[in-house]
Amino acid sequence: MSVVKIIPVKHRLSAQMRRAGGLTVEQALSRAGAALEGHRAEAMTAIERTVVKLEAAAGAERETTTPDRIYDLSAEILDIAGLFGAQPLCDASWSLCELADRLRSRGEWEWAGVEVHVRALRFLLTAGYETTPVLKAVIDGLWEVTDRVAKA
Amino acid sequence: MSDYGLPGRLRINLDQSVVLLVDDNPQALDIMGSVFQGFGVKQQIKCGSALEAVDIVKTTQLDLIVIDCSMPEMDGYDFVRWLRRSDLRPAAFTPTIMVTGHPAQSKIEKSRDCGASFVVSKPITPAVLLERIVWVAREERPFVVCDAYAGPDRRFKNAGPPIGIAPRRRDDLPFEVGEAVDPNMAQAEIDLLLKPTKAPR
Repeated sequence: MSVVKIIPVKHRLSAQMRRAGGLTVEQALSRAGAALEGHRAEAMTAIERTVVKLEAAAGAERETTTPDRIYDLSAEILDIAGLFGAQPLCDASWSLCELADRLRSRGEWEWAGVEVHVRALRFLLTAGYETTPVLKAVIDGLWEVTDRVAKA
Repeated sequence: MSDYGLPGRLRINLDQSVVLLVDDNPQALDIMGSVFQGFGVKQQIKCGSALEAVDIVKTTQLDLIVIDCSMPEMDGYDFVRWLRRSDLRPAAFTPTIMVTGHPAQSKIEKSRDCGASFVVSKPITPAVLLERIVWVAREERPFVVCDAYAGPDRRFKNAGPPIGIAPRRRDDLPFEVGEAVDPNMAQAEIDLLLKPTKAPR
């Protein structure tokens, strides 16, 4: 028979957060936002470098590129873009991760869907952080590709 | 109110808190460090692998761990699972926020069962992160240890997804239940469900 132990827990964090002093939520968010801004330019450069790697992986290096490599590069974009609320880039890289993950888990692969995503990521690099109607149409198109693969 | 649901004038004090940040991507680690500095955290330990984090939790009393799920060798899920099942007290109970990018199909079960206090999906903003930290600190859920699971009690009031969280996949069910698609059951069918009778022989 399985034994279940229930242990009451008190975190030091709760008491610390209630101590006098500290910052208001507004102050904390404003300071964190400013700190984040300081990283934006280098982060976007890093994302662009990863898109270049993806372009090479899906192009000249295709013969030796593994599905895991495509997934990892796409996840790398999501990792950084996800800290800046760059929604269109996040949505596109999320869709490519999903596509690569579904294909590799079925032991299948097709490049057409990957290529479309890589081109879209290149376009989205300069498209800003807001999902405008045009960008939404692009993202919807990517998801159609991913969903088609999911249902195949 | 801030744009993510926490009252803007709410005061939080993290200047005595010791926070461990774990991510194998040095740039993401730096960015996260800056965000926590902005939150007023003065003592943060940054490390680039879960294996390194194992050594740190053995020697340092931490108040919060924020760890990326996807890392080579030992990933974030394995680290939290190890921590929760370790004999280290009180380290095993440390509030732990797992940050995920894309959850691979093979990792979904691992994520559910690893024992993290909260799993946050990217994209995350400072507002989302701060809201989760406050939530984790306030919700002192009891710790459950059994054969299949060790970690904070996963049963808590179901108030729906956190504010602002939308389903991620196209085939995720929406928060709203929506209109019924099948005709109503006849009263006799309902009665039968409530008071089943023996089938005639």
